[in-house]
Amino acid sequence: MFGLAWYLGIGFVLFCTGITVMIARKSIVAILIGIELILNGAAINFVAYSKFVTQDLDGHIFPLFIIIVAAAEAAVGLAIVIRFYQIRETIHIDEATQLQS
Amino acid sequence: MENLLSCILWLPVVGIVAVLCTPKGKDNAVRWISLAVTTITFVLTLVLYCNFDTSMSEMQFAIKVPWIKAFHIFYSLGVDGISLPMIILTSLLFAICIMSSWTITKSVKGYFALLLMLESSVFGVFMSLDFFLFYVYWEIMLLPMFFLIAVWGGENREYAAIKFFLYTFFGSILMLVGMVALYYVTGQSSSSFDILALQGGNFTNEMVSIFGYDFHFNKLFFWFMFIGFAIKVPVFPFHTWLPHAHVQAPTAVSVILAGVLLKMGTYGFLRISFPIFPEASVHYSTAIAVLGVVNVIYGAMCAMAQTDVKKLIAYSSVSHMGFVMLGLAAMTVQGMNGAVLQMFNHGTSTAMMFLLVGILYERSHHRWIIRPDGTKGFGGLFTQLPNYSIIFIIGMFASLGLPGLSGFISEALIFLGIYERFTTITVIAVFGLLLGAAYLLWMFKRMFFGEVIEECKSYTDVNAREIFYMLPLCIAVVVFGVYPTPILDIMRASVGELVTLLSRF
Amino acid sequence: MDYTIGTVAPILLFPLAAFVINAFIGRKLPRQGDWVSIIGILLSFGWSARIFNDFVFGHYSSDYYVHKVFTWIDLSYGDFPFQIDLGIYIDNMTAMMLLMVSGVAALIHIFSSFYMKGDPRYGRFFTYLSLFTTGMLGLVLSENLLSVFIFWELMGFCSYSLIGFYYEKEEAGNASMKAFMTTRVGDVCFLLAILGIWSVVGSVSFVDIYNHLASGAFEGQVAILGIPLASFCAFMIFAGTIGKSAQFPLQVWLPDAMMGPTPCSALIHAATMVAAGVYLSLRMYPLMEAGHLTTFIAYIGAITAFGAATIALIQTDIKAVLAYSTISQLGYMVLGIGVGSYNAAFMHLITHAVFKACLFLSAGSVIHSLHDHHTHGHVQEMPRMGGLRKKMPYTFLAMACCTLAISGVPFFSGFVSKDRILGDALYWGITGHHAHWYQAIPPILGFAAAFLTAFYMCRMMFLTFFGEPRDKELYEHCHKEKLSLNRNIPLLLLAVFTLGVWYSGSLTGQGKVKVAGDRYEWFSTLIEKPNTSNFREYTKEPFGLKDTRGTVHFEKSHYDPSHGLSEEEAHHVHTAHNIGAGLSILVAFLGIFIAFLMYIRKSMDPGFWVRTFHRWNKALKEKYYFDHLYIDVLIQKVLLTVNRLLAAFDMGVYDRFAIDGMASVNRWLYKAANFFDNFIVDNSVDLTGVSVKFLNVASRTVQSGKVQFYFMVLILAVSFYILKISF
Repeated sequence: MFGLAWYLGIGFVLFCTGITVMIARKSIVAILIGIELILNGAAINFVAYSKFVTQDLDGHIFPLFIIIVAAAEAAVGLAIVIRFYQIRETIHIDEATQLQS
Repeated sequence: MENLLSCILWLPVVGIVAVLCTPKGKDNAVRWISLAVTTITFVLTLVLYCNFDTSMSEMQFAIKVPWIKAFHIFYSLGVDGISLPMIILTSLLFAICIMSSWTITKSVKGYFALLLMLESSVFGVFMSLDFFLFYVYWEIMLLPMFFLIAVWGGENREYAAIKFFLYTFFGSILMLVGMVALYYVTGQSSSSFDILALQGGNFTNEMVSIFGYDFHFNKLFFWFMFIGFAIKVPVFPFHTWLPHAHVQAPTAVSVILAGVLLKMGTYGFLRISFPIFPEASVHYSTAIAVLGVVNVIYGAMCAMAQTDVKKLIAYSSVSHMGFVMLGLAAMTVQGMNGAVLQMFNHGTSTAMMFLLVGILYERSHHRWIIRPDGTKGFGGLFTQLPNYSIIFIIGMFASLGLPGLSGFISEALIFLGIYERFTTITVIAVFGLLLGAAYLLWMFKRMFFGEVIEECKSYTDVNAREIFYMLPLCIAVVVFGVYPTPILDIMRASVGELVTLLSRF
Repeated sequence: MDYTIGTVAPILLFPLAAFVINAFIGRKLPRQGDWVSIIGILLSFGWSARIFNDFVFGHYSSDYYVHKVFTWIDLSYGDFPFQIDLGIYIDNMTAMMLLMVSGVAALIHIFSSFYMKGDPRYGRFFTYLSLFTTGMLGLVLSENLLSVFIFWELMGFCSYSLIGFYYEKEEAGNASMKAFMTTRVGDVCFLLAILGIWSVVGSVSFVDIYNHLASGAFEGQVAILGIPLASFCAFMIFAGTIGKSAQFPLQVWLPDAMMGPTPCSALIHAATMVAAGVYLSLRMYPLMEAGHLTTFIAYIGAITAFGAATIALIQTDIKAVLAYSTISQLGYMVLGIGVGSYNAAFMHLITHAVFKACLFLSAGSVIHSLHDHHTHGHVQEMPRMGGLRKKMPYTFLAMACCTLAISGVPFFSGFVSKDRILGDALYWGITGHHAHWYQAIPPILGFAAAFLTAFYMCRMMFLTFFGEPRDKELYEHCHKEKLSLNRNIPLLLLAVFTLGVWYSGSLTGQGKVKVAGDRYEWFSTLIEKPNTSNFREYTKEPFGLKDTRGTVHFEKSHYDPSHGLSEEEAHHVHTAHNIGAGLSILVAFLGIFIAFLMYIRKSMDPGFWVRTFHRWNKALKEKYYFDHLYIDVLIQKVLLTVNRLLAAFDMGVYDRFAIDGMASVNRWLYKAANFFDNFIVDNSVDLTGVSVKFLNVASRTVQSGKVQFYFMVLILAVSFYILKISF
């Protein structure tokens, strides 16, 4: 009843939402959340193709990796955010100008 | 005797050193040294004349010493019948100019040193038999002229000096191109700069290619040389530097300019253009004749409208040099001899006119025949300056070609020479004589006749010094008007040889 | 007599020596050196008289000549011969001219020592006179056209100097310049003729020219614009005559030339120089014939003779009347040349020289004696004269003889010569076989002019010498004339030679009404048209110290009453001459009679004529507007305007724009180069730095550090890429 298109559709919606969040929001945390959404959209694609096209488990491995990497990434990202907040007392991304010039 | 030419050439240079070594403030010593040097030079040229063999057309007193061996450039001098009259004229006029410059007080040393330098370079031009040497002297001559006009000249002197310099320099650059072209076309051999070796029409078949177009070497470089010399003559339409330079130059420099330097142009035709490119010369002789007649008429008509005496005489020089061009275009013995004689005679008569104007200028400090506001600049000079007037009449009538004075014979010879070749042009040119009489007599009438005007009443007549230096010119004008044979004898063989060469093409 | 340097050259050298002496040391000599000049010319007269004696009393045939040359300029080289010879050519005509010129000049020199006395430039006047006589005698002796030209111009110069003698006067300057320039128009043409002839003949010696004319060398030669060379040369030579002899249309200078002292007017502008033009045309007569110019010449002569006579009618200045009468008489000579009356034209030249010189000198004598104490000047106006007959009887006598001569009264010289010209003109134009209708006008004008001449000359006489003195004060101050060597003797001597008997043995000069027989028709015997075929063979002889000619057997000439014509033709000619003689006597007396009625009897009122013909009167006063045409229109309006435009063009346009324009172009070029150098080249060097900077700016802008921006760019780029692939 739900074909490949549906999965891809959800993946696409997640991906787009993630991108929109990443671009539109100025909060670093929100951007991190956007990244998570994008990763998840990508993961759904992997799984969907694995199920409907290749019919093997190769595609299922990738989401696991993605989840782990995302977790690690979120940990590192949140650490940076916390450190950034300590310095600047804000998590607004445009304030992160110290390396610029 | 072999070193006579070198003596004449370098004596003024010795004079420069002497002048420059004179202690400061001794202006009179400077004047006497210059006078002595130029007088000795004049005597030496007379010695040259006495030892000159008039039956020969070849170069005499020739000397040839290597100068820059790598390029086959020689220090090569010699005189023939065409250059000897010019050399005598030069030395005579310079001696006279030194005398006429006695009243110069502005940095005397520099002035006389430059005049002597000019003399040496003019001699160099007339004596050189090496094209490179000729060119060097031709260029050196510009330098003293430039400073003499730019420092000792009239109100607008810088403009005139720069114009003169740039204009003639432009001409000499074309000549330089021609010279270099000759150097390459002769294969950079030992004869590349030797004027005598280049002569004889050796380049009738050579072609040159410029931007892909083929030109006859002969005809192309004839025009290069032609423009180079024509600017000096000056031939219409290259004449406009002359009135400026003359009007601004001090008297002596005007005399030299009109008396000698203009002749360098026509001398260049006789020595370089015609013998080296005889075919092109014959081919383009109509063009030369037309330019000559335009010079005659145009110069005379412009002269008639002038209100400045010196400018008037400057334009009359343009007109008279047109006769020389006509004589050259004739390419017959009578025409060519007439042209060379006219070069000499114009030298004496126009020098007289400029000197006379200079004498007048020393008294009046202006040169207006009719001032810009319409009043008379001079009037009744005949009554006020009787002796001056007599000299003026001699100079003026010599200039307008009265028989018995020098101008006539040369003009008559030129006309006799050119009539058969260019009848129509002659008919037009002869009426130039009419215009020539008109502007001179009109000027004379306006300045000399009538009541003495108030301002002229303070003028003094010519003094002994002025009479003394006018006298040789008066004598020359009268004697060569009645008996031109001494000069014609000098030039006859050389000119005849040139005509023979040209008649082969 | 042998013709060598010793016998011929002194004619020229004595006046020349006088000139040189006077020019240099004249002021230091006693009497300012006038005696040097007078002795010079008298010696010259002596030598001329020897030649005259040899030729005329030797009765050499008309085609005998002495021709000797020396080389003046030799430019021969190789295959190119070129040589100009000078020398002497003496035939009967030369001999007569020599005697006339030196004789008249000598008398005028003597008279000048009276007339010019007290002048501040007394010495200089004689200096010029000597130079002038040199020129004139040289011209007469010349064997070729070039030396004729040389002396011709030399005389022009003397004329210029003498007209401008009173140089304090502005008008003297104008007049002298006008004279020189007007004659120079002719001179330039003359020079052209010399060139044209030289191109065919290879010299301009008379003998060579005759020789080449005889051999037909001129035939088929073309000068310019298709004009035959002979016509061209003939016209140009005649143009020289027009200029020098003040013929229409170049007559304007001669009246103005009267600004000069009166003796110079007598010598230069009446007797000799102006006649030189006619002399030249006579010498070149064969060329005129070859150029088919004779009708034209006749017309010019007739127009001049008549036109000048009409202007003379209303002149009040005594010298102006004489000036116009000179022009008119010269017109007769030219008419004579035109109608082929060679002998009579030359005879008129001689007789005119004598009586006109005398007239001028007499006028000078009158002018000199009338001294106005208010203006301190001499009086020349005839209305202020009158009754002078009693005060100056000798002058009156001389002038009366001359007036009768010029009026053409029988027994006087003017009648002899003028009558013959008129007779020939009549034959040529009306009664002859070859007369065309268009030839009829010159003789008619000639007779009309003869009438006018008689009238105005007598008018002049009557106004000057007869009646009551009109200016009493002037008359009172005039001293009674005494006979003196340098005042009236020259006049009376000249007056003696106005008698016709000196020139012709018969009344009419035609052999009719014989007074003394054919023997005395020496003039007609000795002068004949040069017969060119006689000159076919000749050799030039060197002019030196020794006469190298072989013995010549002279054939004496005889008078031929039929002029070498056939019996029938001669008859026609004689008929014409008889009619002409009668007519000219008639018009002469008519003219005198009318003048008598108007000015002595006063029964005719000149004012009536003036009022009736007031337009003509105005035209005459304005000299037919020639001065206006030449000076105001041609010179001032046309020539000077063109010249000013040219000069303005030369300096203002050509020099300023084309030459200095080159400089401007140059200036622009160097500004452009400067710009290029400073801006482009220099900046492109800077550009390497700038480009780094630019990249810097660009990348800095991109590297904003705004992660979202990066991301957006990334997304856009990727999506663009994808879209590109997909579609």
